[in-house]
Amino acid sequence: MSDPVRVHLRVPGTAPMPELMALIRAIESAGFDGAGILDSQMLSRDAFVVLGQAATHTSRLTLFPAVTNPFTRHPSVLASAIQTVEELAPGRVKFVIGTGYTSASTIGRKPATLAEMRTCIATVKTLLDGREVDWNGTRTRLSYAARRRIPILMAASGPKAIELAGEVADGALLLVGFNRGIVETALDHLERGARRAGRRLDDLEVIWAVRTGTASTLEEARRQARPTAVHWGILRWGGQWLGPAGLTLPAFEIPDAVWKVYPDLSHAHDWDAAIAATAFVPDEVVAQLCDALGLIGTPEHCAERIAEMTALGVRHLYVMPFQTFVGPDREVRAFGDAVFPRLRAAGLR
Amino acid sequence: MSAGHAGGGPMAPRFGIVLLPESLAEWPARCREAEELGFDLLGVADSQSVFRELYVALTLAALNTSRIRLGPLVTNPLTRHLVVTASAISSVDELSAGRSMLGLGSGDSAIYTIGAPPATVAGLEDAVVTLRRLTDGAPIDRGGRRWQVHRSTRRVPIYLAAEGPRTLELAGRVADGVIVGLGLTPDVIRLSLDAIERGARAAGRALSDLDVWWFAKANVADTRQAAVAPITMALAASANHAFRFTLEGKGVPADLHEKIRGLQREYDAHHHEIAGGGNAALTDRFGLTDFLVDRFAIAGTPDECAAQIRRAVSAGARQFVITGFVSDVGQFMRRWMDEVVTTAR
Repeated sequence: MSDPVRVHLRVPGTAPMPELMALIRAIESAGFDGAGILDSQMLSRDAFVVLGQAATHTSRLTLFPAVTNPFTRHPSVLASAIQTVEELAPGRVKFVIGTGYTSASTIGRKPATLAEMRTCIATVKTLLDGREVDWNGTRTRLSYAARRRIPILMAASGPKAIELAGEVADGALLLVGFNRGIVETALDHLERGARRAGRRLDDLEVIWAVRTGTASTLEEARRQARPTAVHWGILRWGGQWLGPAGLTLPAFEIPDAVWKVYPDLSHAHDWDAAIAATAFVPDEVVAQLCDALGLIGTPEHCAERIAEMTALGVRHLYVMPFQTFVGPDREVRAFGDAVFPRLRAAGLR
Repeated sequence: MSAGHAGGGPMAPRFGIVLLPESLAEWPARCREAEELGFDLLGVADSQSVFRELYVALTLAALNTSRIRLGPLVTNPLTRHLVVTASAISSVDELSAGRSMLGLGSGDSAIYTIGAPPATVAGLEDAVVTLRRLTDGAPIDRGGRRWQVHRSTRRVPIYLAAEGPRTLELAGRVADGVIVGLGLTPDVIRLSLDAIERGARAAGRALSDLDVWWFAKANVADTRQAAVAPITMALAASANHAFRFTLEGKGVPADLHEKIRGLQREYDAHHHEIAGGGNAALTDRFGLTDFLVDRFAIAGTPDECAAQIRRAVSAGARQFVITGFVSDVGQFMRRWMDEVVTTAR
């Protein structure tokens, strides 16, 4: 058997804490390898409160903030927080940091620059290693650094960010899309960054963040995926990946209704309204986008797509259900009942 | 507030405790014990470079207790964005079924260790007003965006840590409660209550609208000397913190000003509140130990501690939040409740 496929699930902390803990236990029971806890202070319970409780309520699951950022907490607080969670769940924690998306937009700031990312990652790494950091002439270390390795992964969506991840982080959480052209192009960028630091692609942990939506029919799954697919491909949040994905799309005029969705189309509070706002995009375009974007279809279809992608070396997935304000219960069941058994049957788990 | 303990009448003093999350191994048991012993408030220190993460420690505290109020004592408006603080304390409030409070100060070792200046009085005011709205689930328009966080079942009360007349007044004006860190001598208690009351009146409120707690460095032992020796570093921290901006209006005899300035120059924030750290010797070197014990501590034999508590109560203090910077915190908490508090009541 080749290396197993490991699968983590995105958990938005948008439900009350007791429900979140029941969900995280269900994720562990369903056979997932890990849970990523949304860090977006306006939308979600505090990521480290959820991680702290999750650490004491699970025994096997890998836990990580998904994803934190360099500006809403001081880097010394970030290092302290992840070290504290690791102490509760030794060997089961990753630190995943990105430029910030809703955590930035909801407080009216721009995502972090790559220079800020480089500095923050170096700082957190130094602190977790138990070494001193110089802040304006004040030298400080994390007095309780355990020096057990906590992998530092950088979440990245654009080519330059991916290269930086390859250069400075222990690995990358790649939110780019999920087809052959995209995966190959993203790995090229990651390798370019790794080489800048005298490393190889094999030295890095690579997790593919995959937008996921299962339903009993392909059509329904694609309909549900509309806000995310349109946000990615038509609002061109992931526009640079359309080329590598081999997609050429007609031009669309974006109706005002799209911009009125809070906090944005892909994180919408009101998912049905968000679906309705995408009516200007025809089904066949949405279908193309869905196939390039992620795992969208019946559970059987998703299992087949994962198996196909393993041929490209994909071994590690972070499954991101579309909705931020509805829990991922459907995907917990779909993976536990249908996707994981199929991957096992194919020798992939 | 929850009802008092057995033996405590309506005017009997109440006690809270600040615990330092120096290790997680004993943390849940320590929190449970604080509750079982009858403390009314469990404060968790926030200093990221020396203690475990505040909100993870509070999460464990909430999960391991059922009655005691709990919260940061104190956090600051600088090391986490205010929306993160609002979201985190609301998460803890939800987890603890409405038992949380938020203690906020201008920042001590949490900011000194990262080379940052403390919050100004204006910065603290903005933080209290902002956090109040946010934890109430109300939106705030800032930077062209609307800030809003998920709300717990209720608005989390906000307590301001204050060590001078200006911040005490601010607390009286805008906060739900005060953690007074200016001292425990009768003159200082009266000075502090006056300042809080001025602020409260300015906002059309009364002193009685505020939940006032008095911060005390505490220890109990068989002799005064044995009680004081382990907490001298904590007293050095008090001298460094409470008088760092000014000594004016703080009721400090003029002949001590130069000694206090000398101690502050040599204080090392990296050894903040760590027993045996280099700061412990400073109070003796500058001849300040007796002054600092009298001013900031409740320390001595059980009878001596009880007498100090009664002196403070007679000056108008009623609720004390203590820290025992000692190696065996469990034993300290037990002796405090079993021997000191029963005597004081």
